[in-house]
Amino acid sequence: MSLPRNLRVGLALTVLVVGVAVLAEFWTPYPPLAIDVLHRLAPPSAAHWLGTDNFGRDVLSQLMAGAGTSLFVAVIAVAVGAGIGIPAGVVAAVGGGLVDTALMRLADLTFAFPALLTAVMITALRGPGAANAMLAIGIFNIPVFARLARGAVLSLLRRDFVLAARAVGVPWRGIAWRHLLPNAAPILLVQATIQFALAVLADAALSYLGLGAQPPQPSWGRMLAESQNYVWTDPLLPVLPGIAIVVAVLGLNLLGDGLRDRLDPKLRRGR
Amino acid sequence: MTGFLLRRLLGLALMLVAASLVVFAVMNVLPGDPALLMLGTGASRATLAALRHQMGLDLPLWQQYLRWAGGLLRGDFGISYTYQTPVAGLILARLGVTLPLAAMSIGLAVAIAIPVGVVAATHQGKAADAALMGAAQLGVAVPNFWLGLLLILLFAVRLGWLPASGFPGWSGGLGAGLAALLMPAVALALPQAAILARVTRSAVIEAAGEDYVRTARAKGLAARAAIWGHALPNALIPVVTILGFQFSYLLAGTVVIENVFTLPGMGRLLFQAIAGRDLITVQDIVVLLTGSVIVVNTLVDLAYAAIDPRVSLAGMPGRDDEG
Repeated sequence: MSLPRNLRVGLALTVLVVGVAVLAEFWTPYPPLAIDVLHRLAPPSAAHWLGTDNFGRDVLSQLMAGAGTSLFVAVIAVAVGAGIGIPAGVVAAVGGGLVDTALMRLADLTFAFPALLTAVMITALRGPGAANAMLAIGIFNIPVFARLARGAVLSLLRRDFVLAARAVGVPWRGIAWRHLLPNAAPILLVQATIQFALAVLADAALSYLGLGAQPPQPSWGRMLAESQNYVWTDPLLPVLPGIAIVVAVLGLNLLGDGLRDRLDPKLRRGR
Repeated sequence: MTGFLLRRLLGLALMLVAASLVVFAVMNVLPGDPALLMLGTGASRATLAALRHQMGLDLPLWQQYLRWAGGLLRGDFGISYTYQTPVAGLILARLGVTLPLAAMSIGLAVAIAIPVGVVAATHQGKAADAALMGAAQLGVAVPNFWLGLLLILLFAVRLGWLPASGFPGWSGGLGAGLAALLMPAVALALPQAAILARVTRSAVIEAAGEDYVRTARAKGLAARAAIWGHALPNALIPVVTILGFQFSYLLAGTVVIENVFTLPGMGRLLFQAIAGRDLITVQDIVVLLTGSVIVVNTLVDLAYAAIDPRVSLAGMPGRDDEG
């Protein structure tokens, strides 16, 4: 069975971005931070395929290195969100009653804090940095995973295999690991892909504002911020990092949509 | 319905208190001395002590919280350290930019998303659907601040039709003010519209398959009238819900966009407050933005119940069947 188109394109774009990020760890055309004042703001050429920035740094090399920064922040942020949110959701669903109500109200409360505001508060106290961005985006991801895991587990709790496991006295911990999490995994994985895309976007916004990765660490958002002074003279400079962000986010979104289509039997029947 | 309303309002009050506690705790309990942050490590002991006293930092934490939260209720947001004027006045002056910007972008997003979603739904599987949803897929992936930069490149740098940045103030006339807010509003609206259009499309497709639409068609109503008159109003419930969710993204978006276009709004004030270590201003703006997210989400819940009475009855004993 051949893969649907959005899954194919999404997979290709995601592999491209991840591949570039891995490659940049070992090789970039120039060292991303190498300053070359004689060739500052150079247009694209054979030597610098995408030109150079206001410090004469090679734009392609910086874009390649920025992929790693962006993906790393997003991976950690999603891991924080899923790592805390999923157990909380499972506990809420299994515990029910007061535990459920308390945890879900807490999720509602957390949801009222957009990543940007959390990052702003942390930065105001501790100064900017990539760790703050990860933490802020991660915190915003917690209620997303908690709600989804709770919903998935609630529907699983009524299923025969869970009832049977409870009837023969399997402890909750065993049921959670053996029955609940594996069955909820696909839907959680799809959501993780979508949250990953949102995390890349949020990280770009934070580093654009100077609240994310700090120099000299390369970052797409900061490249955009720095390029803004040159919109009048070098219009290519602000365009390129944005394309990198769009490619990464579009790839992950298509991947998530494609996976969801495959997992959702209702949609599959419609084909 | 009254009981439901009271419960929701009580919940709202509790959430607001909880949010203010969280903001206060993050800003005051975590390690770090606000007075030291403001004055820098070179400050003398006496200056530090004087500032701590002025800011009420020598009081027990619970008294500090009550002082601050009580002030918020009275409209007293404290004194900005940077500007040495009441924070309330600073915020009020900036609302004249941020509120119109937010309203314009919500209006634009809805005005684009509903027709796009309906057209895509009525052409499901055809070329128009594929093209519109492809564009929406792209729109979701575009960062609003980059879109803002592209708009500047096209309409300010290339064509010279609109100002690249800044805000002339409403005293300079409505036209000039709106012109300055147009590009920022579009940059905020398009990614939101992309999400809304996708939701509208699937909601309309779902509603179009319902009995009442089939009945309307069977009674001789034209397909177009059945969709716009019967399917769309019912499809609006999920659309309004998503719109409520988007509000928090929108507020975060205005913070970023105001910095792209150097608009003197709340987002820019927040940003300058961070740079200037003006902690009380940061704390006030964050609690205000968070509070408005909570209020809007409660309003969406109430609107939901007003549109669909089953919502407020759900959870009542004996009424939790599908009805």
